[in-house]
Amino acid sequence: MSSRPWRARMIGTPAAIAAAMLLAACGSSGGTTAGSGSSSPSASSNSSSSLLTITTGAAGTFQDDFNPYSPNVEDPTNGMIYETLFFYDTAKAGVVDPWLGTSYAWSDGGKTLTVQLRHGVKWTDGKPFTSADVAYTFNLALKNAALNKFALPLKSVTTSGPYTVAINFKQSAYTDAYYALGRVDILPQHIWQSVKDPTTFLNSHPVGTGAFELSKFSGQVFTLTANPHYYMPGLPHFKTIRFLAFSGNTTSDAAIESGEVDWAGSFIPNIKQTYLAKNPKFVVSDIPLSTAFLVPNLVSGPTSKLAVRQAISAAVNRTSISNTVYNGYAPPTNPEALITPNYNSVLDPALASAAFGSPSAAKAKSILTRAGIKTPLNLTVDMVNGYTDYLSDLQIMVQELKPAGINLTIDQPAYTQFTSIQDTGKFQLLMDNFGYTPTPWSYYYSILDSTITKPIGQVDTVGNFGRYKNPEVDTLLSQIADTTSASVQNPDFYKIENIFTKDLPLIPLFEQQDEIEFNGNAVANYPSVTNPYGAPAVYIQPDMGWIAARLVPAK
Amino acid sequence: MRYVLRKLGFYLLAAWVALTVNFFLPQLIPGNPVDDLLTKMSQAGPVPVGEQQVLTRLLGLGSGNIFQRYWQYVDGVAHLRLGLSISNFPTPVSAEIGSAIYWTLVLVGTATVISFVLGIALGTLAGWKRGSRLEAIIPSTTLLTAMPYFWLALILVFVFATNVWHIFPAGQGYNTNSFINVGWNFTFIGSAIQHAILPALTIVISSVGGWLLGMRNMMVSTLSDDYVVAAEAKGLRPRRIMIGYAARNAVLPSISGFAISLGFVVSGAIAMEYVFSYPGIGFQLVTAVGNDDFPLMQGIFLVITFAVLGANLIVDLLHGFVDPRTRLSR
Repeated sequence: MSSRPWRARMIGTPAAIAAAMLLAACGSSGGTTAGSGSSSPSASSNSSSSLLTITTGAAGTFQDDFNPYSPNVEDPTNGMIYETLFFYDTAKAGVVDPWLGTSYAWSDGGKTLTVQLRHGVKWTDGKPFTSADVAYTFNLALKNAALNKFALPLKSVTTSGPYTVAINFKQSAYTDAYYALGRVDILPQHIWQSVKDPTTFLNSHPVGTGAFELSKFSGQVFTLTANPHYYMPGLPHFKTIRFLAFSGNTTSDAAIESGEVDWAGSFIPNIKQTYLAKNPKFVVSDIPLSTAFLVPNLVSGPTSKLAVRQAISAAVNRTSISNTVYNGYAPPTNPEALITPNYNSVLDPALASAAFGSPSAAKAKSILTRAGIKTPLNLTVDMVNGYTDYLSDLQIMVQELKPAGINLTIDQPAYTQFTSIQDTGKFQLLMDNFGYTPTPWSYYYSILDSTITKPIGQVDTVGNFGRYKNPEVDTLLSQIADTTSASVQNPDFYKIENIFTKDLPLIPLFEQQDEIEFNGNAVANYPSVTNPYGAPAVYIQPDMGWIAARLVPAK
Repeated sequence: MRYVLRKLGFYLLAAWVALTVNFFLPQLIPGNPVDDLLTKMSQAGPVPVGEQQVLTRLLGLGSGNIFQRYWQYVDGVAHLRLGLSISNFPTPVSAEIGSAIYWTLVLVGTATVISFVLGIALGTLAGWKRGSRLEAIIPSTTLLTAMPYFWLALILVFVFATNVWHIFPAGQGYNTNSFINVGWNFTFIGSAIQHAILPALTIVISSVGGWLLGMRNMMVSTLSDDYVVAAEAKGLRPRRIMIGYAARNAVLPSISGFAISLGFVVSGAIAMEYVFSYPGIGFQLVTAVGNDDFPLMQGIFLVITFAVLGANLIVDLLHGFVDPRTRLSR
């Protein structure tokens, strides 16, 4: 399964939209032929050296929308067409590569961020890129709150010369660096200043600085071609990129399995046989980017008792679930729920080899008995309807928890209803995943900080849905946020990790499976666990654009 | 004229009620689009604090109370402004519907006509030769009608697309995996027809039984009418009696039923389009509901309601002219 952000994909995400499921239910014996009737000439793309075919899965149809402020923007906008000042490697915390910026420095206690810009960059229409464009972009967010995509506490933006920009914040903003430097797309002032309403502008003919430019668009397929004047020498290697839309996982999986697609992020059931066995050069790149959790309600109900959470954690056999459901591609995580090796830089050395004990129902039961909790204990877990892999996981857990005296019932509300249950905290347990950020602070903050939560019944859209409240953790998190010095931050991270292990505010299960398929017959130099120069997940921007420029056609 | 005015007045009232229900019904769905978007975003990385307000502003939501929004909505509809879709923000709802409606109109429209013609023809024959072996098709077609729509579609996919024979594509409107220019060219039209066969078959198979049964029963009762007996007594050829005398009168109720079902064509066949991922109105509606996309939902409901009301109005008016008994007594 793979979670990815937008529109139809959201229903279709982790597993398959119901339609696709119905189809899959109908026949999973999947032949090698593509789902479409007429065989497509594009199958020859494998031999053509300069065409890269990508699918982001069940996207329905593409909308001609390349406005980076739009919540439904097409994926290549951020990273392929427009670029950020720096590249934060989502797959390796602490790696920040220069992009449109070359260096940055904090001053005034984290209230001023001064960025030096790259020289000699041109927009694809030939105009030079300067500090005026950067200032314009941040001023858009400053003047129109609706365009302040990452809710930055901006105060003012000043330029000095064509290659230096200073961004001033209302408060210390160290933790916003990732958003300001690594997520805000820099736009061309000479084009956007004449746009009447940037919020509803479709931007069908985007002019960016990126390695690729849009060439042809239709609802089912669109192509980007290499920017011939790209400023990074030798990049990009591929001359053409093609995006394909599929309406369901069945058709997209068929195209991936036939080798027609070179780069995809679809959940393929039984991937070893249905994909890897088809061709010796088919590759699955699986870099852990997020963690799957059971999120317990910590305010009310049985799950607010530590013993219940410990019992569940002790009884669940993570390894067997990983092997059964994910072909071993989602190994058990660690008791401190730290995403490794991504966040290794902040891992407490004392916890380096920490692991969950061997699963035991008897042990779980004794934990409950010792705490004086009556069994059988009835619990309900919510998961999004249609996330078939989560359903399989939970069905196994139901069996594993029964001998421990816990009767688990699975509820599968529809997506929008799940959202409401999660946000209002009206659940006992729910299954979800968190991560996909290059900053470990942001990860722990979004699952543990109590300042972002609201009381049960009120909508909390940011995180910490179980409403964990520990003043010590809040203090540690704000201490980490107040500095950029790793030597100050790391001891605080170690403390949080140890508190997590003890308190079990969420029950960590396994590394969220992020199976990304690469067709090695067409593509080389893709990111992997040993070479994580970017997060290869097709739904993570701007990593996708960074990687696309660096992929090499296979010989 | 008075009859026409009265009818128009009634339909105006019905349209207003439908409009109001259109507005309030989707609002009762739990959840709201901003929360959905945020949850989706949070699955690709933590959402910054304050993002909720940013999105609400960006989408132009949350201004005014429900009555003010209702007024804005009515005002918008009166000026044919349907607003911007949320799930595909900032695409206008009218453009969204425009991109889907032709698929539905052509596919469901054609299938409805085929089903009607086929049903009427078979019904005429079955009624004419009552008691013959031809009658056996009645229980078999009604059985197919009784079968759930989506189930039939799944069986067709199983047999003809995915598992038994790989004859037809399993979904979508045309072959989207190769560079086909959408427009009037043979590659596209050929591909579109190929992709339409299974969905059309689903509609025809599951609806032909209704037309057939209705026509056959009307035929049976018409055949016992005096003028048919008279025609037989005159020694007219059986074929002429069947078509010119019996069928022509028996088909009248079916025609008005047909006109109404043409109105429903617009709503597509939701289950069918969903199973086949067909890019029509029905599929779009399902997606809109799944995303809490209120403007798109309202737009689609509006189009469907007006199509059905319009079809009914036409039938009503035509009846007034065709059959004087339905007009007012004075």
